[in-house]
Amino acid sequence: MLYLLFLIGPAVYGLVMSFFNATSVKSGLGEAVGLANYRDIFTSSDFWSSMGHTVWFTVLTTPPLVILAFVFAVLAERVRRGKALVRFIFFAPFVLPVTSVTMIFTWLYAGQIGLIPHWIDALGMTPPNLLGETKWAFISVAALTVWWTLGFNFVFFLAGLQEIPTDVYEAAAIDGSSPARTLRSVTLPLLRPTIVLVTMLQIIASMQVFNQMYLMTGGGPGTSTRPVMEFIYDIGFSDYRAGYASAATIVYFVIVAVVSVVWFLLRRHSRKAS
Amino acid sequence: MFYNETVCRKAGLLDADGSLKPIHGPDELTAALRAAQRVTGHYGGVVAVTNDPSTNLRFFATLYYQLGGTFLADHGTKITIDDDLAIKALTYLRSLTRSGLMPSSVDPTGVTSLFSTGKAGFLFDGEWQIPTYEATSLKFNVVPVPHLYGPKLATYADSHSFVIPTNGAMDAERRSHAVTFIKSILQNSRTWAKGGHIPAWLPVRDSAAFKAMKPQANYVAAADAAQYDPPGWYSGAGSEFENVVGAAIAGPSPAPRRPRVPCARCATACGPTPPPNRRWDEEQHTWPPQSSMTARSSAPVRPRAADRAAAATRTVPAGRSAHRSWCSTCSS
Repeated sequence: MLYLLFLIGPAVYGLVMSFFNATSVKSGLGEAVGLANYRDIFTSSDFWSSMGHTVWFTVLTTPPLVILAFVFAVLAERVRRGKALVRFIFFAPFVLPVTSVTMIFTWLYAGQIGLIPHWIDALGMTPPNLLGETKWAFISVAALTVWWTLGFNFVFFLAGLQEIPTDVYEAAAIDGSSPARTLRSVTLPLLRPTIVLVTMLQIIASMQVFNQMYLMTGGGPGTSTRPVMEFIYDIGFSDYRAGYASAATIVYFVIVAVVSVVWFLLRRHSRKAS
Repeated sequence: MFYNETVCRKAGLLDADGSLKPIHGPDELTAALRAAQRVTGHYGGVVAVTNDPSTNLRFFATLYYQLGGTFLADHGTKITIDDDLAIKALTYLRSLTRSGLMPSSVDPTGVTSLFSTGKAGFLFDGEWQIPTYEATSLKFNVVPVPHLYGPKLATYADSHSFVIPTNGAMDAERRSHAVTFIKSILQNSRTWAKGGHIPAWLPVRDSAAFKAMKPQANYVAAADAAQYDPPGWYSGAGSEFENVVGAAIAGPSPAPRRPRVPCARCATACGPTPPPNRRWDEEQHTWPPQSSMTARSSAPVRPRAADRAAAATRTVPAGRSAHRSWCSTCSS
């Protein structure tokens, strides 16, 4: 019932709204405009460039977040003493609220006052404009995201590693397998489902980027790092164009859904093959 | 405009009674910033550049309004930006950062840090920042923004308003309660002025109690020079207008936006045939005819001068990839 009220209900209403010239400052749906909102979205260079920014952010964050989380999980499993402490250290950043994280990193990155530009300057190099230049702004926010959310994937991998029965490792050790070989031939294949799951969840999470971008760069410089969620937010809440924003949301939702389905099919296909 | 009293005194910018000597014209402002820079050893002045499109717009608009420029007409349906005036204002702003008098990249946190620690003598920001600096040990004062151009001082401004929505169902008693509430807030706007705002209610603004408030009473003249965002359904504080225009002012040179018109090649190969003598419409700032949908979805984007020049002397590059990178409308 709650699910219906808070999830399905608004989603259906959003779908309906996307066919109307609805606004958030007037009650009712406004005039019906058919597919005009969708036509606008498909021809809007602003929408597609923001979509591109989201995809680029996903490309930048997904590989490090999956690979580093895996590496750290394997290493954390090998630690003999203080296991709990090591796990806590990797997971700790994840519990910070986004506002605190962005505040910390603003003080690290910001031109004139930031710690990182200061260090680079001290080394005698000209510091890059970490938040004020498009290329660097993406990298800066991606690095923040890796530091911040790594712990989530780390926990998945830890759980996955603990699922692997110890006798498999014993068997490998008796066969005289080197640690590298054990990792490649025992750990990786047995952890496959977890890797697939984490990658999928990470892609979906990165596609939803909004908070850290909005707080760190505001989509800037200009609109050159504005992710698609911020585009929708700007249209819907700054411009009050609820109908148009709904149409953008639906298009975005369909794109994410297609990515998920394609991934799912590929996975099923590869599983059948093996 | 905020100024650091200690820095400005050392720089010889204050007169005998300790207030800032008037600054007129861009050259005097540059000279004042340079004098302050000599004292601070870092910057003459500071204004937020990164991640603050509203401030980008406010600072630019102040100069642009003084030059006599306008942004929009007919409630936002028409863009009236005067390129020459805008370039004049932007060139001056650029000269301040290029010469190192002001930082070319600094975000709002950095601005607060630089001005409050005396690394910049002047600060261009809203009066609502007064409480921020009152919380520090900094000795500062606030005056109206300098008169740089034109016959009359103009400054970007916005303000707070009370709105009673039209509501036929509201009875007279409740309406009178609402009005009484608004009245009492206006009569007490001295409290509001503590946040830096200039009282709009004249009996408060002209009262002795307000005139004794420093630095608030020093910049009352700015209220008479105030110019708001142009009326439009997408303008106002925190609006898309401020985001888009502010972004254009501070942002990197935008990716070349080509006019949305099919090129000669697509016109024959894959696109609609353009009208034979399609010309950039200077008055409407658009390519005629554009679908009404695109015009409404965002303020029409004006192609860069270079693009317009290119469109005038249009030659179609040969070869598929050359053509694709050149033509925005087809993917042949």
